[in-house]
Amino acid sequence: MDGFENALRVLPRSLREAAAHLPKGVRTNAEELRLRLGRAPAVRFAEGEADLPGAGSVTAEMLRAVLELATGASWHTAEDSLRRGFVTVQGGCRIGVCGQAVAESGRVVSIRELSSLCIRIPREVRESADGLMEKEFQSTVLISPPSGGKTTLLREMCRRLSDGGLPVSLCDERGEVAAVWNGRAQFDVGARTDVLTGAPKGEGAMMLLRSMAPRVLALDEITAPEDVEACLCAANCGVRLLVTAHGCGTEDLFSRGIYRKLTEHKLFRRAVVIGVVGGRRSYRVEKLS
Amino acid sequence: MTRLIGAMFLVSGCAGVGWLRKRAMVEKVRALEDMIAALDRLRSELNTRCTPLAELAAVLSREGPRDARGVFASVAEGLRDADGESFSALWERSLQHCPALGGEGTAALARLGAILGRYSVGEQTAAIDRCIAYLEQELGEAREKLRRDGTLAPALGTAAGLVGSVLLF
Repeated sequence: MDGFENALRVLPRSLREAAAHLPKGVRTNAEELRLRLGRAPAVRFAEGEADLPGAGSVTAEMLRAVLELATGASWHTAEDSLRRGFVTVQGGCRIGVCGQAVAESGRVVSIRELSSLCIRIPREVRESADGLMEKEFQSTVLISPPSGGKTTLLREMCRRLSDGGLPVSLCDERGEVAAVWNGRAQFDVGARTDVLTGAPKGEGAMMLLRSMAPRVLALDEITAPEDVEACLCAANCGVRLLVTAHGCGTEDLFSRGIYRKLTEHKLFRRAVVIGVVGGRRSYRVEKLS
Repeated sequence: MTRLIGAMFLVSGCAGVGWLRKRAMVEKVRALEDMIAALDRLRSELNTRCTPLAELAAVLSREGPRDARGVFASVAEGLRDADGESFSALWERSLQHCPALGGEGTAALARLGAILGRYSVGEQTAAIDRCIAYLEQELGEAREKLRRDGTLAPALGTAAGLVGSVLLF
């Protein structure tokens, strides 16, 4: 089952029928489905967004139905991740959730009155890492704005490193890199890749370092100080890092507080900056001293 | 001879109607007992293990109380197929697999379908509690009716058949 079909599985019948009639080319290139209350559902591509024809407007009931289908009618099993604004479904499809946040003591405890959903369609793009692999792997950070293709590239680089002989440990906090279901990765992340799903990256990275003896530690989207600390710890253990981070480039990334520490310790030797040119992704490699 | 056979048919027919009436009462009691037991297990699993409904329905369809198995088998199948049907619609459709519950019991369970899977564990278990309380009340009434009319229905049926035979023949 491809990524688009996986995404269809979480749509209520009316939306599913409209999306199922999309031409094959559109289905292949679609990266996200966007549902915003009162607006027409939209399909997002690398180059922009287009309305989904014949689906009418998104209703509150539709948004609730998507989450019901996504959680297998078991909201209670996804409460923790929904609190963090997303839920991941079988096949690695991640659904971002927006609405009225309910906060207690300064922390979000739930989301009610859903206003929009972003259904991301994960894919394996085997050619994405062409020309990016080196004979001897050096710690690398993959940088792009949101929806830039970091996770897809991370997945492919993991696969190539792993199949090339390096034991890779992947901390897949949101379950969208390897899309593990019943213990099996649904995306090919390599023969020598050990995947820890669902653990916060900082804690998960330390668990993997202690238990799986990796040569390469892969983390998707380092955003918190604990993630940076885990990276520092791994580097001190002689483990190479492969991580992704939001940003427009190296200058932008390393000027931000928590990432500055990474440059100070010269943790990464290489950065791959992902951009979109004419609807296609481009990859620029920068050496970091 | 023909009259005798006719009278026998009439008596056995009326007695049969009485027995069917009693059987319906017995089945209702058993269906309510089994559904209450299944809901009780559902509540415990949600409370202690936060089990997903698909897994719970699959377990109850195999190991649950006998009269509730059909309902949960249908729910499990619907959740497995995930063809875009809402859970409340699936639940309501599945309840048709246990017609012995009766209109009131089915309606109470259908209301529960609007809560299951959509809210927190606490809210779901509270809704299950309310549903169990309602079904227990129904069960009490069904048991009382069975005690009161259970023997009477076949007897009345037989008597009506006898009276009818005497009048007709």
